Amino acid sequence: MSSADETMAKHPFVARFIDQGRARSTEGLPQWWADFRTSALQRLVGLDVPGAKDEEWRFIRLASLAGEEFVAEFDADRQVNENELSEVTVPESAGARLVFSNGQFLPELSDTSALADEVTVTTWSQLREAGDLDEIHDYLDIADFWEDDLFYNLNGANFEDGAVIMVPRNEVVETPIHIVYLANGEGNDFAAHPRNIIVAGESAQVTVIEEFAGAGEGTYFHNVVDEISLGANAKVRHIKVQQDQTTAYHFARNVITLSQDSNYEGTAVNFGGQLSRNDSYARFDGKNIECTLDGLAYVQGRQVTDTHTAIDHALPDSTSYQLHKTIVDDRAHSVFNGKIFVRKDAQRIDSNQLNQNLVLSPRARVDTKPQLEIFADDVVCSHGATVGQLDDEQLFYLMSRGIDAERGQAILTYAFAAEVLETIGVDSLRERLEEQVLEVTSAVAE
Amino acid sequence: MLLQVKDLHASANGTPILKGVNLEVKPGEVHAIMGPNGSGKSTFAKVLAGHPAYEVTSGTMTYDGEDLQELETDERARAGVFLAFQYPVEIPGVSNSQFMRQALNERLKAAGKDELDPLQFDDYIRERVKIVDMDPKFLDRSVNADFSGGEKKRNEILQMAVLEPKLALLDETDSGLDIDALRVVANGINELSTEENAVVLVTHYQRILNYVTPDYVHVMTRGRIIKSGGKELALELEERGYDWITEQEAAQ
Ligand SMILES: Nc1ncnc2c1ncn2[C@@H]1O[C@H](COP(=O)(O)OP(=O)(O)O)[C@@H](O)[C@H]1O
Ligand SMILES: [Mg+2]
Repeated sequence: MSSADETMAKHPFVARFIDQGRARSTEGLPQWWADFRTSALQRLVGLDVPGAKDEEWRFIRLASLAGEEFVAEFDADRQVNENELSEVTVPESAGARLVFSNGQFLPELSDTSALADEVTVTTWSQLREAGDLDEIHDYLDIADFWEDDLFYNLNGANFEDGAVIMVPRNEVVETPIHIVYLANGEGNDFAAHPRNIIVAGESAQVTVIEEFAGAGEGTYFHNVVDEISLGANAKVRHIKVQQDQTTAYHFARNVITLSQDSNYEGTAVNFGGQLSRNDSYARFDGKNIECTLDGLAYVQGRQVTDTHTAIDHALPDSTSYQLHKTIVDDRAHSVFNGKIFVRKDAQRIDSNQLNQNLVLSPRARVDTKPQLEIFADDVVCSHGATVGQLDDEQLFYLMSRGIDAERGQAILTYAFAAEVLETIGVDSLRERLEEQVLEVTSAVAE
Repeated sequence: MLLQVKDLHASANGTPILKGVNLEVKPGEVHAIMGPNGSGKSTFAKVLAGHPAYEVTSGTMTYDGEDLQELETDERARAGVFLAFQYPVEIPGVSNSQFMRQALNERLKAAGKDELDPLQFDDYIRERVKIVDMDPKFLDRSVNADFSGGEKKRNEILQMAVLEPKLALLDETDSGLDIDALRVVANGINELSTEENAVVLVTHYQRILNYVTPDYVHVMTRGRIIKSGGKELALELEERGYDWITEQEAAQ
């Protein structure tokens, strides 16, 4: 058997996506895109579904995902409707919104009229139609970090749509740009592979909200890749909110490359998915960079959420911050692995990492692995992880003022989450998420 | 009778701490409970508030005609029992003013009264902070988070001022305060005292009793109230310490 046939036989899950990738139209595809797809397809041949022996995957099981038979996104038989959109509206982003349904762009629900002409806020599908793709070539596949990663390559072989945001030099975009991925699992099970490109030129500034929301019971698979490039002195605020259906799978790989004096602030909120995996890799390509990778995951029932981050201080004089919190209820399971590399010549690095986990139920599970690898000597690094429950004395204090136990637990859970949510500068979004934490906890406690 | 405690025994993790406490408090009265460290004063206050670490093994606590043991901590609070903690806990992430509004609204709701919306509460709290001479900036901070010892005590009395309890149990609210803060706290207590409510001051020191005049002074040692008297008992304790009472008790 050829190795292609072997993969087909051994891993029907991978084989399906190879077939789908091969069957995708090449019409309007520039050569570099076609080449990229081909190389991803080639790499997929021979890639296994990762198992427990694989260090990067040891805490979670992919068997249920690998057992699913997803159709391609364009074969999904149930699209979302406008009502489903109203629940995730961010008024601050009026006139700066891209909406996707089951991974495909929905121009009729999108509106970018509030944005200056100099700023590109569009999609792969629109650029392809206009034959205008070439300027994003440089921002595709910007790091080889996930070259051998199954999910990165599944996306590479299959992606056809996603947001393209390019902010030119010196341009400051005041309106937060809202990218919405709605999905409807009500019909057949589908997989979508969004690929978002965010580029901030020298001294440019932009806030991007990337939000996933599911409707309807049923299984689907969002397999996302974000590629984010910051020019010198650029500032990008990136808020990701993942509220896919608790029957869905959500995987994401975020690659961030930072030039000198740039500042990236990421907050990833993961509430949805039966299994979600959100990985970020930040590469420091200059000095005096500031990078924040905050996160909040809240899982219940039998949800599993896994976050892996890698911050790579390759050069001196930079700072990184990370506060990652998880709240785990019922029989849910959260995983955190945060790697920080300080390379040999990367002196005067200041790096803070903290992972805090709140366990609300005796059957919930937390795995945490902060991982600091320092090869330079003149650095200030702190990292740590805590796993704990709600504080009895705090709860008693609230109750001694007339607040009942359920409400008290909700308030304390909210307070735990608040430290991360507070960093979200878009008021309506922050308030919506805070409200949600309070409501969810109250509902659970009852 | 507002509060009637009869032969109350309580233990923590199986270790008896309260060993037969008796106390009667009528509306309009101010009681002081004094005693050496470790005698069970805080335990008594926390048992009255319903702290889960303590198990009542025998005896009764009747508040306003109701058996306190039948009520959860939050129900006791809504019925008008208030405990100012000796060591108020910090709750980062919960706004002090939102917390107090919620607490007040729970109490109003239980009394069948209208709740206050944020604007009404804002007016109300701005009046109440004057009673404890507190900088309103503390309202926007997290509950007790990074407050100094004195600020925490003020914040406790502020909550008393907001909730207007019928029975206020003030556990060492005077300890660790400088004289100015002590006066503020004492004035607050006096201002909030009426003919309808009662205050039980738990204290280690006689000093606060120069500002808040008690109707009764009780001495607690080893989990029991072994002597009660008028305010002159406090002065005697100040002069002679606790040993003579303990000896008297032992001789009996
Ligand atoms: N939760 C508890 N578990 C075990 N022992 C306790 C607990 N609370 C109080 N005690 C013990 O009970 C005794 C009385 O304590 P406390 O009520 O704090 O005294 P006071 O307030 O008069 O100083 C002390 O010996 C103390 O160690
Ligand atoms: Mg005490």
